[in-house]
Amino acid sequence: MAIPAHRDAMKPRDRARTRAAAPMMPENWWTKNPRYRAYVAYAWAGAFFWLQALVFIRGLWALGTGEVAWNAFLQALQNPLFVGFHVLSLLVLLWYGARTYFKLFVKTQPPKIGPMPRPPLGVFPPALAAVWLGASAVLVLVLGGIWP
Amino acid sequence: MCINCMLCYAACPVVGKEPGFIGPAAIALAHRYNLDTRDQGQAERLQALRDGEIYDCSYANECSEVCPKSVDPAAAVQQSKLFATLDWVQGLVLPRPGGQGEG
Amino acid sequence: MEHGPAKKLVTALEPLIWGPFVTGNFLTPLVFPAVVLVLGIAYPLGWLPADALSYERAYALATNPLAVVGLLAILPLALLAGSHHLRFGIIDLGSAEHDGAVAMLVYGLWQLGAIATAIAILRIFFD
Repeated sequence: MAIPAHRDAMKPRDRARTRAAAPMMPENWWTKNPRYRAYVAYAWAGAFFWLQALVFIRGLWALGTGEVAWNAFLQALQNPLFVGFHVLSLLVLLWYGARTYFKLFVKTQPPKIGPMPRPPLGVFPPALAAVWLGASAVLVLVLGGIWP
Repeated sequence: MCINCMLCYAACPVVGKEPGFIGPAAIALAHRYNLDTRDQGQAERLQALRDGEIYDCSYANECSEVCPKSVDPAAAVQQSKLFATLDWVQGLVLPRPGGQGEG
Repeated sequence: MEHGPAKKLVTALEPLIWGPFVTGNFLTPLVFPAVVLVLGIAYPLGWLPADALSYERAYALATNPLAVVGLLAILPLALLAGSHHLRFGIIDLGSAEHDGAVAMLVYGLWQLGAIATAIAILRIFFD
Protein backbone atom coordinates (compact mmCIF):
# COMPACT_ATOMS: atom_id res chain seq x y z
CA MET A 1 0.00 0.00 0.00
CA ALA A 2 1.34 3.42 -0.88
CA ILE A 3 1.39 6.34 1.48
CA PRO A 4 2.32 9.88 0.63
CA ALA A 5 5.93 10.22 1.70
CA HIS A 6 5.31 13.87 2.31
CA ARG A 7 2.34 15.94 1.33
CA ASP A 8 4.42 17.89 -1.17
CA ALA A 9 7.01 15.30 -2.16
CA MET A 10 7.44 15.00 -5.90
CA LYS A 11 4.76 17.65 -6.32
CA PRO A 12 5.00 19.42 -9.66
CA ARG A 13 6.30 22.92 -9.14
CA ASP A 14 3.63 24.43 -11.35
CA ARG A 15 0.42 23.39 -12.94
CA ALA A 16 1.61 21.31 -15.82
CA ARG A 17 -0.87 19.25 -17.69
CA THR A 18 1.35 16.21 -17.85
CA ARG A 19 0.43 14.61 -14.54
CA ALA A 20 -2.81 13.96 -12.73
CA ALA A 21 -1.45 13.01 -9.31
CA ALA A 22 1.91 13.20 -7.56
CA PRO A 23 3.75 9.86 -7.53
CA MET A 24 3.71 8.10 -4.17
CA MET A 25 6.46 6.14 -2.51
CA PRO A 26 5.29 2.65 -1.49
CA GLU A 27 5.42 1.94 2.22
CA ASN A 28 7.76 -1.00 1.59
CA TRP A 29 10.14 0.98 -0.61
CA TRP A 30 13.10 -0.06 1.50
CA THR A 31 12.53 -3.76 0.79
CA LYS A 32 12.95 -3.31 -2.93
CA ASN A 33 16.68 -3.95 -3.07
CA PRO A 34 19.50 -4.91 -0.66
CA ARG A 35 21.14 -1.49 -0.78
CA TYR A 36 17.97 0.18 0.49
CA ARG A 37 17.84 -2.37 3.32
CA ALA A 38 21.48 -1.65 4.16
CA TYR A 39 20.69 2.08 4.17
CA VAL A 40 17.81 1.66 6.64
CA ALA A 41 19.95 -0.71 8.76
CA TYR A 42 22.75 1.87 8.82
CA ALA A 43 20.31 4.47 10.18
CA TRP A 44 18.91 2.12 12.83
CA ALA A 45 22.45 1.22 13.96
CA GLY A 46 22.10 4.58 15.74
CA ALA A 47 19.90 2.77 18.23
CA PHE A 48 22.88 0.57 19.13
CA PHE A 49 25.04 3.66 19.59
CA TRP A 50 22.50 4.88 22.14
CA LEU A 51 22.07 1.57 23.92
CA GLN A 52 25.79 0.91 24.15
CA ALA A 53 26.60 4.45 25.26
CA LEU A 54 23.90 4.15 27.95
CA VAL A 55 25.57 0.96 29.22
CA PHE A 56 28.89 2.81 29.45
CA ILE A 57 27.28 5.78 31.19
CA ARG A 58 25.60 3.40 33.63
CA GLY A 59 29.05 1.92 34.34
CA LEU A 60 30.56 5.35 34.92
CA TRP A 61 27.67 6.20 37.21
CA ALA A 62 28.31 3.03 39.23
CA LEU A 63 32.00 3.91 39.40
CA GLY A 64 31.07 7.32 40.79
CA THR A 65 28.75 5.80 43.39
CA GLY A 66 31.37 3.53 44.93
CA GLU A 67 32.97 0.14 45.08
CA VAL A 68 29.80 -1.78 45.95
CA ALA A 69 27.90 -0.25 43.02
CA TRP A 70 30.81 -0.90 40.66
CA ASN A 71 30.99 -4.56 41.67
CA ALA A 72 27.24 -4.83 41.18
CA PHE A 73 27.67 -3.41 37.67
CA LEU A 74 30.40 -5.96 36.92
CA GLN A 75 28.13 -8.68 38.26
CA ALA A 76 25.33 -7.52 35.95
CA LEU A 77 27.69 -7.64 32.97
CA GLN A 78 27.99 -11.37 33.47
CA ASN A 79 24.31 -11.97 32.83
CA PRO A 80 24.05 -14.08 29.63
CA LEU A 81 21.46 -11.72 28.17
CA PHE A 82 23.91 -8.86 28.56
CA VAL A 83 26.68 -10.88 26.95
CA GLY A 84 24.34 -11.70 24.06
CA PHE A 85 23.49 -8.02 23.65
CA HIS A 86 27.17 -7.11 23.63
CA VAL A 87 27.97 -9.72 20.99
CA LEU A 88 25.21 -8.31 18.80
CA SER A 89 26.33 -4.77 19.52
CA LEU A 90 29.91 -5.63 18.57
CA LEU A 91 28.80 -7.13 15.26
CA VAL A 92 26.64 -4.09 14.47
CA LEU A 93 29.46 -1.70 15.35
CA LEU A 94 31.95 -3.60 13.21
CA TRP A 95 29.57 -3.66 10.23
CA TYR A 96 28.83 0.03 10.73
CA GLY A 97 32.53 0.86 11.01
CA ALA A 98 33.39 -1.06 7.85
CA ARG A 99 30.69 0.74 5.89
CA THR A 100 31.70 4.12 7.30
CA TYR A 101 35.46 3.80 6.87
CA PHE A 102 35.77 1.83 3.65
CA LYS A 103 32.88 3.33 1.69
CA LEU A 104 31.56 6.58 3.10
CA PHE A 105 34.81 8.11 4.34
CA VAL A 106 36.53 7.52 1.00
CA LYS A 107 33.69 9.23 -0.85
CA THR A 108 33.82 12.26 1.42
CA GLN A 109 37.40 13.14 0.47
CA PRO A 110 37.41 16.03 -2.00
CA PRO A 111 40.13 16.20 -4.68
CA LYS A 112 41.74 18.96 -2.70
CA ILE A 113 41.06 21.05 0.38
CA GLY A 114 42.55 24.48 -0.18
CA PRO A 115 46.02 23.81 -1.58
CA MET A 116 46.33 20.33 -0.04
CA PRO A 117 45.76 17.55 -2.61
CA ARG A 118 44.18 14.22 -1.78
CA PRO A 119 46.33 11.08 -1.56
CA PRO A 120 45.39 8.32 -4.05
CA LEU A 121 42.04 6.87 -3.01
CA GLY A 122 43.48 3.38 -2.67
CA VAL A 123 45.53 4.57 0.30
CA PHE A 124 42.50 5.20 2.49
CA PRO A 125 41.11 1.71 3.21
CA PRO A 126 44.40 0.19 4.40
CA ALA A 127 45.33 3.36 6.31
CA LEU A 128 41.94 3.45 8.05
CA ALA A 129 42.10 -0.27 8.78
CA ALA A 130 45.52 0.24 10.38
CA VAL A 131 44.22 3.11 12.52
CA TRP A 132 41.19 1.05 13.51
CA LEU A 133 43.26 -1.99 14.50
CA GLY A 134 45.85 0.14 16.27
CA ALA A 135 43.33 2.07 18.34
CA SER A 136 41.41 -1.08 19.19
CA ALA A 137 44.59 -2.91 20.20
CA VAL A 138 45.65 -0.11 22.54
CA LEU A 139 42.21 0.04 24.14
CA VAL A 140 41.99 -3.73 24.60
CA LEU A 141 45.46 -3.89 26.13
CA VAL A 142 44.91 -0.96 28.49
CA LEU A 143 41.36 -1.76 29.59
CA GLY A 144 42.04 -5.46 29.72
CA GLY A 145 44.81 -5.01 32.24
CA ILE A 146 47.40 -6.54 29.94
CA TRP A 147 49.50 -3.41 29.45
CA PRO A 148 50.84 -1.26 31.09
CA MET B 1 29.37 13.07 -17.60
CA CYS B 2 25.80 13.76 -16.53
CA ILE B 3 23.23 13.28 -19.30
CA ASN B 4 20.26 14.46 -17.18
CA CYS B 5 18.62 11.05 -17.36
CA MET B 6 17.28 11.60 -13.78
CA LEU B 7 17.76 7.95 -12.82
CA CYS B 8 19.43 9.21 -9.65
CA TYR B 9 16.25 11.13 -8.74
CA ALA B 10 14.18 8.02 -9.30
CA ALA B 11 16.54 5.95 -7.14
CA CYS B 12 17.07 8.35 -4.26
CA PRO B 13 14.81 7.67 -1.25
CA VAL B 14 15.35 11.18 0.07
CA VAL B 15 14.06 12.75 -3.15
CA GLY B 16 10.91 10.74 -2.58
CA LYS B 17 10.59 11.82 1.05
CA GLU B 18 11.85 15.38 1.34
CA PRO B 19 10.28 17.97 -0.96
CA GLY B 20 12.98 20.54 -0.28
CA PHE B 21 15.92 18.31 -1.19
CA ILE B 22 17.39 19.45 -4.50
CA GLY B 23 18.65 16.00 -5.49
CA PRO B 24 21.84 14.26 -6.66
CA ALA B 25 22.28 15.64 -10.18
CA ALA B 26 21.84 19.26 -9.09
CA ILE B 27 24.36 18.82 -6.27
CA ALA B 28 26.84 17.03 -8.55
CA LEU B 29 26.67 19.89 -11.03
CA ALA B 30 27.07 22.51 -8.29
CA HIS B 31 30.07 20.55 -6.99
CA ARG B 32 31.61 20.53 -10.47
CA TYR B 33 31.56 24.33 -10.40
CA ASN B 34 32.79 24.53 -6.81
CA LEU B 35 35.80 22.45 -7.81
CA ASP B 36 36.49 24.58 -10.87
CA THR B 37 39.56 26.65 -10.05
CA ARG B 38 38.34 29.51 -12.26
CA ASP B 39 35.10 29.85 -10.29
CA GLN B 40 34.51 32.78 -7.92
CA GLY B 41 31.05 31.83 -6.68
CA GLN B 42 31.68 29.15 -4.05
CA ALA B 43 30.19 31.11 -1.16
CA GLU B 44 26.88 31.83 -2.88
CA ARG B 45 26.69 28.37 -4.37
CA LEU B 46 27.35 26.71 -1.00
CA GLN B 47 24.64 28.86 0.59
CA ALA B 48 22.28 27.72 -2.14
CA LEU B 49 23.25 24.12 -1.40
CA ARG B 50 22.54 24.58 2.32
CA ASP B 51 19.15 26.07 1.44
CA GLY B 52 18.67 23.09 -0.86
CA GLU B 53 18.80 20.80 2.21
CA ILE B 54 21.81 18.78 1.08
CA TYR B 55 22.19 17.52 4.66
CA ASP B 56 19.03 15.47 4.21
CA CYS B 57 21.16 13.04 2.22
CA SER B 58 22.08 10.15 4.48
CA TYR B 59 24.20 8.18 2.04
CA ALA B 60 22.01 5.55 0.45
CA ASN B 61 24.46 5.62 -2.48
CA GLU B 62 21.70 4.45 -4.80
CA CYS B 63 22.24 7.48 -7.04
CA SER B 64 25.79 6.38 -7.83
CA GLU B 65 24.67 2.76 -8.21
CA VAL B 66 22.18 3.57 -10.96
CA CYS B 67 24.11 6.30 -12.77
CA PRO B 68 24.81 5.11 -16.32
CA LYS B 69 27.67 7.57 -16.75
CA SER B 70 29.56 6.97 -13.47
CA VAL B 71 29.15 10.57 -12.38
CA ASP B 72 29.19 9.37 -8.73
CA PRO B 73 26.77 11.98 -7.37
CA ALA B 74 26.95 10.37 -3.93
CA ALA B 75 30.60 11.39 -3.62
CA ALA B 76 29.70 14.90 -4.85
CA VAL B 77 26.99 15.21 -2.19
CA GLN B 78 29.27 14.06 0.65
CA GLN B 79 32.05 16.40 -0.49
CA SER B 80 29.54 19.25 -0.85
CA LYS B 81 28.37 18.68 2.72
CA LEU B 82 31.96 19.03 3.83
CA PHE B 83 32.55 22.22 1.86
CA ALA B 84 29.19 23.68 2.87
CA THR B 85 29.95 23.04 6.56
CA LEU B 86 33.43 24.57 6.35
CA ASP B 87 31.97 27.56 4.51
CA TRP B 88 29.23 27.94 7.12
CA VAL B 89 31.76 27.96 9.97
CA GLN B 90 33.95 30.40 8.08
CA GLY B 91 30.91 32.63 7.55
CA LEU B 92 30.21 32.65 11.29
CA VAL B 93 33.77 33.54 12.20
CA LEU B 94 34.56 35.93 9.35
CA PRO B 95 31.33 37.65 8.30
CA ARG B 96 31.21 38.41 4.65
CA PRO B 97 30.45 41.84 3.21
CA GLY B 98 26.79 41.83 2.25
CA GLY B 99 25.97 39.37 5.02
CA GLN B 100 25.22 35.69 4.91
CA GLY B 101 21.76 34.13 5.29
CA GLU B 102 20.92 32.26 8.49
CA GLY B 103 22.82 28.97 8.59
CA MET C 1 6.16 24.51 -0.15
CA GLU C 2 5.91 25.44 3.50
CA HIS C 3 8.05 24.05 6.22
CA GLY C 4 6.97 24.39 9.84
CA PRO C 5 9.07 26.43 12.28
CA ALA C 6 10.79 23.40 13.80
CA LYS C 7 11.89 22.14 10.40
CA LYS C 8 13.12 25.61 9.41
CA LEU C 9 15.18 25.86 12.59
CA VAL C 10 16.67 22.43 12.05
CA THR C 11 17.52 23.19 8.40
CA ALA C 12 19.23 26.41 9.42
CA LEU C 13 21.29 24.60 12.08
CA GLU C 14 22.12 21.48 10.06
CA PRO C 15 25.79 22.42 9.44
CA LEU C 16 26.19 22.82 13.21
CA ILE C 17 24.84 19.29 13.68
CA TRP C 18 26.58 17.69 10.73
CA GLY C 19 30.17 18.51 11.73
CA PRO C 20 29.96 16.87 15.18
CA PHE C 21 27.78 14.10 13.71
CA VAL C 22 30.51 13.11 11.25
CA THR C 23 33.09 13.23 14.05
CA GLY C 24 30.94 10.90 16.14
CA ASN C 25 30.24 8.76 13.08
CA PHE C 26 33.99 8.30 12.72
CA LEU C 27 35.07 7.96 16.35
CA THR C 28 32.31 5.72 17.69
CA PRO C 29 33.08 2.59 15.64
CA LEU C 30 36.77 3.32 16.19
CA VAL C 31 36.53 3.18 19.98
CA PHE C 32 33.36 1.30 20.99
CA PRO C 33 34.13 -2.18 19.62
CA ALA C 34 37.29 -2.59 21.72
CA VAL C 35 35.51 -1.48 24.90
CA VAL C 36 32.53 -3.74 24.16
CA LEU C 37 34.94 -6.62 23.59
CA VAL C 38 36.68 -6.08 26.93
CA LEU C 39 33.72 -5.16 29.15
CA GLY C 40 30.95 -7.09 27.51
CA ILE C 41 32.61 -10.26 26.26
CA ALA C 42 36.15 -10.83 27.56
CA TYR C 43 35.37 -9.97 31.17
CA PRO C 44 32.21 -12.12 31.55
CA LEU C 45 33.94 -15.02 29.84
CA GLY C 46 36.87 -14.79 32.26
CA TRP C 47 39.51 -14.00 29.67
CA LEU C 48 40.99 -11.04 31.57
CA PRO C 49 43.62 -11.01 34.34
CA ALA C 50 42.04 -11.17 37.77
CA ASP C 51 42.06 -7.53 38.87
CA ALA C 52 41.80 -5.90 35.40
CA LEU C 53 38.47 -4.27 36.22
CA SER C 54 38.81 -3.96 39.98
CA TYR C 55 37.36 -0.81 41.49
CA GLU C 56 40.82 0.66 42.19
CA ARG C 57 42.04 0.09 38.67
CA ALA C 58 38.82 1.29 37.05
CA TYR C 59 38.88 4.40 39.23
CA ALA C 60 42.50 5.09 38.30
CA LEU C 61 41.75 4.68 34.59
CA ALA C 62 38.61 6.82 34.68
CA THR C 63 40.24 9.70 36.54
CA ASN C 64 43.23 9.83 34.20
CA PRO C 65 43.01 13.22 32.40
CA LEU C 66 43.29 11.56 28.97
CA ALA C 67 40.39 9.30 29.84
CA VAL C 68 38.26 12.18 31.11
CA VAL C 69 38.82 14.19 27.95
CA GLY C 70 38.22 11.12 25.82
CA LEU C 71 34.99 10.17 27.59
CA LEU C 72 33.64 13.72 27.59
CA ALA C 73 34.35 13.94 23.88
CA ILE C 74 33.34 10.53 22.62
CA LEU C 75 30.23 9.66 24.62
CA PRO C 76 28.22 12.78 23.68
CA LEU C 77 29.42 12.47 20.08
CA ALA C 78 28.29 8.84 19.98
CA LEU C 79 24.90 9.88 21.36
CA LEU C 80 24.62 12.65 18.77
CA ALA C 81 25.50 10.30 15.92
CA GLY C 82 22.90 7.88 17.26
CA SER C 83 20.25 10.61 17.51
CA HIS C 84 20.95 11.93 14.02
CA HIS C 85 20.83 8.43 12.56
CA LEU C 86 17.63 7.62 14.39
CA ARG C 87 16.01 10.80 13.10
CA PHE C 88 16.51 9.62 9.52
CA GLY C 89 15.72 6.03 10.44
CA ILE C 90 12.31 7.15 11.69
CA ILE C 91 11.65 9.48 8.76
CA ASP C 92 12.63 6.86 6.20
CA LEU C 93 10.13 4.33 7.51
CA GLY C 94 7.40 6.91 8.06
CA SER C 95 6.62 10.30 6.64
CA ALA C 96 9.00 13.20 6.24
CA GLU C 97 6.23 15.60 7.26
CA HIS C 98 7.20 14.94 10.87
CA ASP C 99 10.90 15.75 10.41
CA GLY C 100 10.68 18.90 12.53
CA ALA C 101 9.04 17.14 15.46
CA VAL C 102 11.26 14.06 15.21
CA ALA C 103 14.36 16.25 15.09
CA MET C 104 13.27 18.13 18.21
CA LEU C 105 12.72 14.79 19.96
CA VAL C 106 16.04 13.15 19.06
CA TYR C 107 18.17 16.21 19.67
CA GLY C 108 16.31 16.91 22.90
CA LEU C 109 17.10 13.37 24.05
CA TRP C 110 20.67 13.98 23.02
CA GLN C 111 20.89 16.99 25.30
CA LEU C 112 19.64 14.91 28.23
CA GLY C 113 22.15 12.18 27.39
CA ALA C 114 25.03 14.63 27.14
CA ILE C 115 24.17 16.18 30.49
CA ALA C 116 23.88 12.72 32.06
CA THR C 117 27.32 11.85 30.66
CA ALA C 118 28.91 14.96 32.13
CA ILE C 119 27.30 14.34 35.52
CA ALA C 120 28.34 10.66 35.49
CA ILE C 121 31.95 11.60 34.85
CA LEU C 122 32.01 14.41 37.41
CA ARG C 123 30.54 12.14 40.07
CA ILE C 124 33.60 9.94 39.88
CA PHE C 125 35.70 12.75 41.26
CA PHE C 126 33.42 13.57 44.19
CA ASP C 127 32.68 11.17 47.00
